[in-house]
Amino acid sequence: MDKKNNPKILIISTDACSYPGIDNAGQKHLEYSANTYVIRTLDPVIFPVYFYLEAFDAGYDGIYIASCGTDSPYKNTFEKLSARIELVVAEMKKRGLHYSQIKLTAICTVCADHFVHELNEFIEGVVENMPPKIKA
Amino acid sequence: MNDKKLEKLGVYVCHCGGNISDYVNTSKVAEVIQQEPEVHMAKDFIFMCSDAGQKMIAEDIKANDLTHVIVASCSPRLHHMTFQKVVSEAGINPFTYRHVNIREQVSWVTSHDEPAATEKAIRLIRGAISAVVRLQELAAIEKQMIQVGAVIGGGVSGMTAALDIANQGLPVHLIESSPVLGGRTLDLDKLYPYEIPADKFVQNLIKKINSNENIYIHLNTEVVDTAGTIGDFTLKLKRADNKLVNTEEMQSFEIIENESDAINVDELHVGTITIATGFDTYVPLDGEYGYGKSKQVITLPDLIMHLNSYKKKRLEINGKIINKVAMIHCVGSRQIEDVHPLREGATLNNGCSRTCCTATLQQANRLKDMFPDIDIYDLYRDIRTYGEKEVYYKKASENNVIFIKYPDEEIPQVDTNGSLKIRTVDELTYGLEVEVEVDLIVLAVAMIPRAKPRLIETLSLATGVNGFLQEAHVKLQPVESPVDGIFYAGTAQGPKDVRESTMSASATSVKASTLLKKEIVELSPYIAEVNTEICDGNGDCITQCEYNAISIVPIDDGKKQAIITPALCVSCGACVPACKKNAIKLNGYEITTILAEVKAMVKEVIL
Ligand SMILES: Cc1cc2nc3c(=O)[nH]c(=O)nc-3n(C[C@H](O)[C@H](O)[C@H](O)COP(=O)(O)OP(=O)(O)OC[C@H]3O[C@@H](n4cnc5c(N)ncnc54)[C@H](O)[C@@H]3O)c2cc1C
Repeated sequence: MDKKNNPKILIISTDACSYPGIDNAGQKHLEYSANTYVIRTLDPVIFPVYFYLEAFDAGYDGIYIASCGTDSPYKNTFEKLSARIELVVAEMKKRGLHYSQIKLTAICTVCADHFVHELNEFIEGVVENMPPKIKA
Repeated sequence: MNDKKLEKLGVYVCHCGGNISDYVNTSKVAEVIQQEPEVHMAKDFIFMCSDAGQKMIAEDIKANDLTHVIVASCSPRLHHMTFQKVVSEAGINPFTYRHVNIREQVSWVTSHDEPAATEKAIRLIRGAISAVVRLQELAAIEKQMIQVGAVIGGGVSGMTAALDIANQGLPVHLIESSPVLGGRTLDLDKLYPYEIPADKFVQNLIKKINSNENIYIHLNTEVVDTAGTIGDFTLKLKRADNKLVNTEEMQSFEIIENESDAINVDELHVGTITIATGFDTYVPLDGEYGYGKSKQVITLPDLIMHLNSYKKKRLEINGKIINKVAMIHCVGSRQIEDVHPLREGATLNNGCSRTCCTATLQQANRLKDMFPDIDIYDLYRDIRTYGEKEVYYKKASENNVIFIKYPDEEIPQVDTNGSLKIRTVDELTYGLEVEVEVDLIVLAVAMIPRAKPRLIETLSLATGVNGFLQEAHVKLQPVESPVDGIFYAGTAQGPKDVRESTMSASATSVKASTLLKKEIVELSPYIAEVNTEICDGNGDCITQCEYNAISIVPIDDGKKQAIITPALCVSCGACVPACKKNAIKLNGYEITTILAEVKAMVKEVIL
């Protein structure tokens, strides 16, 4: 696949909010890049910094974290997750990755249109800012 | 539980009629997947969820001694459990089953590019194969259920919740901190929308409660501490004083001293807890719309209570005859930053209180009915008399209530020096400045969360943005807390009128009773687990756990170790990254497993 125009995106979803929301995009037959891979979690707060870095090392060009935001059923996890992503971005910088290659957002159970719109924007940002060695 | 090593994996690719196979080359997917070293057999079929599909999988498991199964079909939200059941009945641990979503997340979103959709399906299945290799066998945690419920808060929500549980034949304790049942509904006059007298409504509920042998009432009682988990909660109770209300006498709301037959216990053991602790009303700041500066500025609940026992022909409040009244909506609700004053340390309440528009117009009409000559000015931002409550707006218009729509960002100014004056901009007359002199200002104050009782802290319950109790999921679990066995009823969860409160209470009771009817409750096996060989008990995980599920215990040689209380763990996973030694994992969601899945999905696909 043409990496430049078709970056590989890992989508981290949550059982309570974004997984049903992403399903909803399918139910509405909204199209988005096929080079996107959804994994299901209870809450992305579970992932340590190294998880994201290893995913980039494995070949993902972008990681889109579709959390529950402040609607998380779990106490204070969004705050913890936000702090973690700041650490990830700092580490990404050291490795020559651009901050636009990761996005922390909130997707609800019926946020289908919003999800697709935001994902497309995210992919555009990834393509735009990919370091030259990957972009080539 | 002994883990069964992956020896023989069966992968099943569903066509879903043509929902998948019209866009994904399903036979190609099966063919490519068959080449994976871990895969014993891969098949595609028209409908995996059909009887024939399920039978085929079950027979394959038996005939080929399959140890693991993956089905790639629609969303796991539809059929994960279907296939878990199929594999379980055929002798495979259901928690080692993996479901891949190639319909909602592949065929239905990639309908114009078959090679890309096919490649994506293959990658997702490869990810699942990598995960399955590592998945542990798990079993639901079984726990004995104490088949007794507790409802905390004896307002209309708590009473309804208790009655509905009791009517299922289950014993239930109703714990109320004040000397009487009824909550804030007791302060009301007639309940909109059907103008049912509030006292009659409450008395009717009390009557039913009194005649129900399954309900144990604890008045003047607060829960001061809690322990335990679903199936076996301990509630420590404290009575405020010795004054108890005789349950027989309650209809007259009389307080009597030391009634001998009143129930007296200080510790309860229950299987579920329903929280129905209700709401508070907003107290305006000193000087907010003249409140506290003039006795003629009162709140809507003050007005209702004043009128409840009022008998005179002319309205008099605080020694003043009232001819002109202004009513101001949204006091303490729908607050806007830098527009509305805030108490120190208070957070902005940007939510709508839902009840006050109707309650205000109901009282405006009541005033007009009682004192026809009174002039009423209604200062509002938006009128939210939703649904059938619109009749109150219509009646107020017919009653010549004068409506003034003030802008969101320009709150009316009240002058309390000399005569009481109110100045505002009226959007209905294209921004005309209006000044009226009135004898009384009534503030329609917000419904706000109660000051957090200790109970909420000890049960580790989350509150949402506006401070009310936050449900586990706004649409999918609207009356459940994130903690198993704890439910919410009524306004403790957010502003509601009586009907909405009792509806939520009834919904809660169905959830609680369903659990209480079981002798054994099954808990999710997806809980955190400590690797005792690695853990050094440094406690980093404890600081991340918001649910008191982790404790540090001493072990041999003066060493320490973290342990998890399974029933307290809500599976959030926050503790996992806290451990620098990777000594803690969330069963079913191990980082190594998810990473393997993630990595397997990027491997090259040759079609
Ligand atoms: C001005 C106004 C007018 C209204 N008019 C109407 C109307 O006309 N029609 C209508 O349908 N609705 C009306 N409402 C809404 C109505 O008041 C509520 O829907 C109703 O009172 C909610 O009942 P509840 O049981 O949820 O809460 P509450 O009435 O607040 O009852 C909660 C109970 O829990 C007890 N409690 C609190 N904390 C504890 C604790 N820690 N331990 C034990 N017990 C505790 C309290 O003492 C109380 O008895 C009005 C509201 C307002 C503010």
